[in-house]
Amino acid sequence: MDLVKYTRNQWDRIGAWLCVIGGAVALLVGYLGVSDTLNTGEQLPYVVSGGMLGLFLLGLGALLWLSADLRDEWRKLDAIDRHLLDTNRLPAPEGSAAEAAPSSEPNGRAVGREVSLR
Amino acid sequence: MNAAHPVGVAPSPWNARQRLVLAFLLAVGVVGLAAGYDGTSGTLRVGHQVVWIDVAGAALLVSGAGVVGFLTAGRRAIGRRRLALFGNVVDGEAVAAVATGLAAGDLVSAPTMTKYHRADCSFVAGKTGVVAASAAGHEQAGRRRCGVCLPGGDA
Repeated sequence: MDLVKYTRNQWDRIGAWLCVIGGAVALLVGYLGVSDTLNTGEQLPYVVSGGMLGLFLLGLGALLWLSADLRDEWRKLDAIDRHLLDTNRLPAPEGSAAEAAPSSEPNGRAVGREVSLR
Repeated sequence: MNAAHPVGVAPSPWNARQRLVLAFLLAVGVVGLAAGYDGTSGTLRVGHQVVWIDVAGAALLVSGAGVVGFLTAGRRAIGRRRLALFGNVVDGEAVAAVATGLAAGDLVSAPTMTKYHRADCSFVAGKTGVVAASAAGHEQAGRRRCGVCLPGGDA
């Protein structure tokens, strides 16, 4: 598979892995820094730069991964929605431009219909 | 949020405001961590460092709350859309029946059915050979009224 295309499609999951790896490295560096000295004043900067930054990056990685899953699910719903619309199994709301305009374009961007959220 | 959502226009479950709030809270986290590191590394006095540890911890909590809120908002948006979408499928079947020239309140049945229904009743959705007739016509054909959609009213 084309690496550029894969990166463009999966940027969030790649970013998630990078964040998780970065977080693990930060935690490790923090541990090494803290364990290297008995002076509390020298240890605390490592708590922030290693421990807290590591937790932050791990959380960011989790955010990216889970949001990628949610985006996938959203796209799947979009595809189902378009399929139902194209097969006339979904009613277009009155006054919408859906009946006059094409339901979708190849890039999946221009859809004139709206789905009511009840 | 109970508003209509434009299909295919929004590429993700989050709107611009939610993204902005997340970006802001993450930025608060980054700035807080940077300030915390700067504050703790600038001195060896533990009493002074603890204040900056608190700042960094608070920033971490704030950004964590932003992450949780963001994911929850996305989850809820998908749930609402799924509900709307699959609710509309049922409606769509009813509308498909109506699209054959029947009004929602017309009394319909099919040759193989023993009861007559409103045209928008879920029991006739997707049935083939659905025809409309008056209540008397259906009764004469030996069909009874549907107990779910109650064609002709509650009486």
